Amino acid sequence: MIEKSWAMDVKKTVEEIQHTYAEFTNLSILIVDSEGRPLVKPSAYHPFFKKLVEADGDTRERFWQEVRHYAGLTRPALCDLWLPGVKFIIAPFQSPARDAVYYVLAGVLIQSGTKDLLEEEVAGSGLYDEGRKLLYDLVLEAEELSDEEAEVWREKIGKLAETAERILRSAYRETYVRDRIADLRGILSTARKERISVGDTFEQFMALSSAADVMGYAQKIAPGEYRIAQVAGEGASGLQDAEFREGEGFLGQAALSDNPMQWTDIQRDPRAFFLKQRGVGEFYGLRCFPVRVGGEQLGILFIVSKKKVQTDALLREFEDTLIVLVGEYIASGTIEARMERQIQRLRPLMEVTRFMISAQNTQRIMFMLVDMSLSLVWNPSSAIIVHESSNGQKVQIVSRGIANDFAEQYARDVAKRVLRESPNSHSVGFELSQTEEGQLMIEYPIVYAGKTRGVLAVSLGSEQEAEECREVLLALATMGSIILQSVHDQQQLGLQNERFLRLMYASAKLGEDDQGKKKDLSLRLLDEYARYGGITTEESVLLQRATMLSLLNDTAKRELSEAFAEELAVLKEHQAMLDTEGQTGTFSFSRYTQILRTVLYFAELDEETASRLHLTGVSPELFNHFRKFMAVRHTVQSEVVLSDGHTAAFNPAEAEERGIDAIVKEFGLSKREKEVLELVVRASSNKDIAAKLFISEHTVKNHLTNIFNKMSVSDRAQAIARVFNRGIG
Amino acid sequence: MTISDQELLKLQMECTVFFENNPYAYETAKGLSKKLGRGVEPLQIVLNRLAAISILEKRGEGNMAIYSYKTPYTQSEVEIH
Amino acid sequence: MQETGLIHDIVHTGVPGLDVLLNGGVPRGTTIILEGNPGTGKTTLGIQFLLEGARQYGESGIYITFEELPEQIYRDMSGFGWDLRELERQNKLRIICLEPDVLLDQMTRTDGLFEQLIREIDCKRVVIDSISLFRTLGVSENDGREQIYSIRNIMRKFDLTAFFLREYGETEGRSTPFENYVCDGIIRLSLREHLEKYRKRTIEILKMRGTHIVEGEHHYRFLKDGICILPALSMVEDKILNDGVDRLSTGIESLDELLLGGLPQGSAFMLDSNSKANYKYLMNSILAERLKRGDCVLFMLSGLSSVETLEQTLELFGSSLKEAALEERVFFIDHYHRKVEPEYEKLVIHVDRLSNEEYQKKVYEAINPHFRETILQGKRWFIHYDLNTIISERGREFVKRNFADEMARCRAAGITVLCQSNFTEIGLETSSFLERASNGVIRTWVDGSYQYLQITKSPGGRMSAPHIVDNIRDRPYVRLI
Repeated sequence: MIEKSWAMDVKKTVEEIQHTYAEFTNLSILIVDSEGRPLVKPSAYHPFFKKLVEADGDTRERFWQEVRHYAGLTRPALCDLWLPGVKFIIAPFQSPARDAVYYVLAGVLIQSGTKDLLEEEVAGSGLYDEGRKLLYDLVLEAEELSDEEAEVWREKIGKLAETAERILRSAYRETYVRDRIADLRGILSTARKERISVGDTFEQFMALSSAADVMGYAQKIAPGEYRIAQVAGEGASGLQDAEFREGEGFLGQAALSDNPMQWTDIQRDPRAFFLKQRGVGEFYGLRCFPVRVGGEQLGILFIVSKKKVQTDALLREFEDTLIVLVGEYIASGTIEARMERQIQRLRPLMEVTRFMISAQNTQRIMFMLVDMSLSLVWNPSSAIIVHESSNGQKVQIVSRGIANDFAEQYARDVAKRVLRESPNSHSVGFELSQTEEGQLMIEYPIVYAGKTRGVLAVSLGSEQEAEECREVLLALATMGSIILQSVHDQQQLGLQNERFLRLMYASAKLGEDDQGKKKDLSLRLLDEYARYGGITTEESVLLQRATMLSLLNDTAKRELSEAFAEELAVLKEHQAMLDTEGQTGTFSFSRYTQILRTVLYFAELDEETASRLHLTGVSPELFNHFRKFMAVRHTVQSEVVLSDGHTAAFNPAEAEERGIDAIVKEFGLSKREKEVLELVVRASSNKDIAAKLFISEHTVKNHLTNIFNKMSVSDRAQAIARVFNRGIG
Repeated sequence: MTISDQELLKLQMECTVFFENNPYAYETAKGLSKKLGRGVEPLQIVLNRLAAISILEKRGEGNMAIYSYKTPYTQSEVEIH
Repeated sequence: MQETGLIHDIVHTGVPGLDVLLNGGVPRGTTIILEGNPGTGKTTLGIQFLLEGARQYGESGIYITFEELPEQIYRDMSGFGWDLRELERQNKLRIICLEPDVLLDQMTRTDGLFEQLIREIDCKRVVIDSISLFRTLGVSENDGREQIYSIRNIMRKFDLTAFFLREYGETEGRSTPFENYVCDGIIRLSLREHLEKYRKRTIEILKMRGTHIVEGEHHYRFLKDGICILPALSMVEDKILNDGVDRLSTGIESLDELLLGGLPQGSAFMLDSNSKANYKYLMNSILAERLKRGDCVLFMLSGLSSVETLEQTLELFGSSLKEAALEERVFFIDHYHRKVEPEYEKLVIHVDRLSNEEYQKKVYEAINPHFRETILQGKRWFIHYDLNTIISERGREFVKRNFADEMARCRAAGITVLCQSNFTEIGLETSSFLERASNGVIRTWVDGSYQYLQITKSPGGRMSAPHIVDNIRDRPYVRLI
């Protein structure tokens, strides 16, 4: 540090002042460090020190040993060196960094009336030649001084030391601040360039401050709540992740203020407890600086000083600048990170869009919206979509992470609030709502086909979170709306096609009386068979369309080929199946085709029962099941006709249910027996029943025996008949 | 080398889409790594994250853990009253 | 409603042609090894087994693969027009891609993934692609046998019918792999260079417990909707007979099995035997069976067999010629003008000393009225046609000119014909003509100390393996081994 403090210009200034003093006092003056090394040139006016500096090593060492006796002086003193009566002034001063002591040496002073005595003394002393000569010359040339005069010189030399110290310090501060600013610039630019996080630069920032022993950043995590996110400094690790509330302690008070705050001499203040307790220990002062962007408070930067530090304006200014810059740096980093996170989430979102567009199915799109929104929120807990259902009286929900009953309750609330109240609002913004349980939900309307048809809602921990994820969720909800719109358009097209098909079917029937009747019957059978549980509604609907198409001529079919590709494929396969009729071999036809073949076959029959026991290409199980359905249907229908006089809507499934209930009551069947009987009536084999009820086939047989005994029937055919009779009766 | 959050999130989306498209797939991290051409370690992080937010179901532990899609709760008949 | 357990316990593979080779299918709960070199179509056949199970029989299946990516399978199979994803949606199929150790881990857990899946989709069929990987899994000495053994047992426990795929090359030249013993069947797919131009794909069933199989290598092809197996010698023009047609039992159970139940009604079969072979038991068993069932039978008497000897032999097989005669449902063509008992007198058509034209006319006029009458009563007709006699009495040219025509007429009228001949005596040219004119050929011959029987041609295109004819003490005195 010496070299730095004693830069050339500083040296020159000090030399000049030294010479002035030497001239004025007629003393020989030298400024040295604590090892006796001269720091500036000795003043030429009085040759003693010049000579000393040029003297041999022994002489210099001898002199220095004498000076060293006075180490530890804090004030200028009049000291006897070599011989009592040979006096020098020694004035110590501090290096600017206070890491070294320098000395101004001035001499020689001889008290009035002692010069002659000294001359004798010097001549007879045991000094080496050169030293004695030097001293002799010195004493010889010296003037006698009174005590008062000596005291004046002492003060003067003291002033010289003070002046030198001041010059040094001022020069040193300038360099210090200049260097620190250069360091700061370096840290900031590296941090920017290499995207170093705020946390990793904290240690460096702190090293720049002469006042900071601990530096930290408390981030706002929720309204009124802060968490210490970054901290550096000795003993400060205990502060990491510590949380406090607004108004709590010094930091809490700083959080309430828009301006920087500073407290000093607060060792006894109870507000310091928060920091003290977490490893900071006793400290002297605290500075806080609010980190803000626009109107938004992001957090508080704080600096703890353990001891009072003497500072001047320049350093204070530097410290102030430092804290502002670090604060800004944190703010920009936070904003950047926030944007980064938004972008991070937006980018994959774009990719997801591709998949969503390909999923032409409302349900799957809703699955994706829920799953994606959970992935996009920082602290995901739950997401739900509430969507109107076709009849308007009910809503459909898809949810994750929410208790089922709560999801339903919330769905009702949303339905009333959003879907009913403001269905025509086309706003694309978001709403925050609080559920009865106090859960904060961010809600986005799903708008398509001219009105709000649903709501995507995601539960959030805080409004803070809402701030952070609102944009990306908005993008997701908007995207969902657009894709649902396209699915909706497709469906509308499908409905139109279906209407068109019905129209064409109706007109085709006009020319085909007999065929038309049979196709009508097939349509009815398909409908009833679905209600009977033999096929699903989807299967039934598709096959009904295929049946209608089968009556149309080729031109009409071609026209509809795009809209009903699947149905026409079934028809084509059906034709292939008819062509194989009667042939040997193994054939593979889809279930659709097998059902269609069976239904059309039965519809063709004039009689109620089929004479054939199987159809080529139709699995015997399917055929038998349908045959049974036809038999039951016939029974029930004729009974109904007898009692009502007109054909009531046929519903064997209901009849079954009624019948079984009646039988259970009448014959006292157990719960298990009832289950077995239900399956028997649905034409399940013992094996199927065993599998469905998770019991062994043997147990099934036992149950059957018991059931038959109770019902007084001998086999399952009779049992089934009885169930249906009861069902009708 | 650590993976950035953005990469993990992208991977998370990729996995979510994979399981949505293959709702009947049962995958280990290793198996999925082969399928998606991604590293096993980041996949493990992402799969566990997806399991934590109940998008996936996890059976077994460690390398033997199998992940599969958990269908969200759906109810299409909620009466409004 | 299917009440009988037996039929239920057969799993139809649904793969066109394969069930024919398997005599209907495989018993439920069996584990079958499906082996072949890469590219032979193991995966396709495996998937087809599951797909047809779902499509045709409503049986769900799980495909477990250790190697291929499901996407690859979905894509490859969509080439056959199979939408596997849709089947998954319908809970009819699951395609699972897992490492072998993970699969085993889950399989052995109580309520592990495997058990859950089986319950979830009510799984009946499983394909594992492939068990070869278990080798690398196990400790080197045990070949992964413990793993395969336990998986086989798990299949059995859940009554699952399973195909285990295996690379063929890897077991070549080694001692019989362990899994051949624990599995119930082995099906091998091969791909060979054929005539340097075509690659011949063949399928062979090497072993199958619990069902009779059609032996030999059979061709298979990849068609646009999957693999189709062509049973050997299958010819399109032979498919004239319906599957729904009645089968006439031969009275020999083992022969009926080879014939899928018996001789199809309305078909013309050839029983070809060399002079050493004892074809009489076979012939008489068939004839006796017809009489017992109340059918009308027209016999052509040879020089060696008279009505009397016929009556005696049929008696041995438990049927009474005399009774049938009283019911007027047996008729005889006799070239040798032999005397008969009064009961038979009006039933014998004497054709000696007649020209070929007169012969035809006489037989036709004698039979036709009876035929019309009995057909109205719903009776079936059966003709025993002794080609050896016809050739010797009517000449080779007569046969060549008329045989095909006669057979066609019989077929049209629903009459079943069994011709007896000796191809070696008749000569190659005529016999190949006769073979072509018939719907089926049953060949029996003596070679060394054994008599063999083989169906070399049948309406369904089936060709059986040669069987040994074994004599037994009780009726029908023969059986096939």
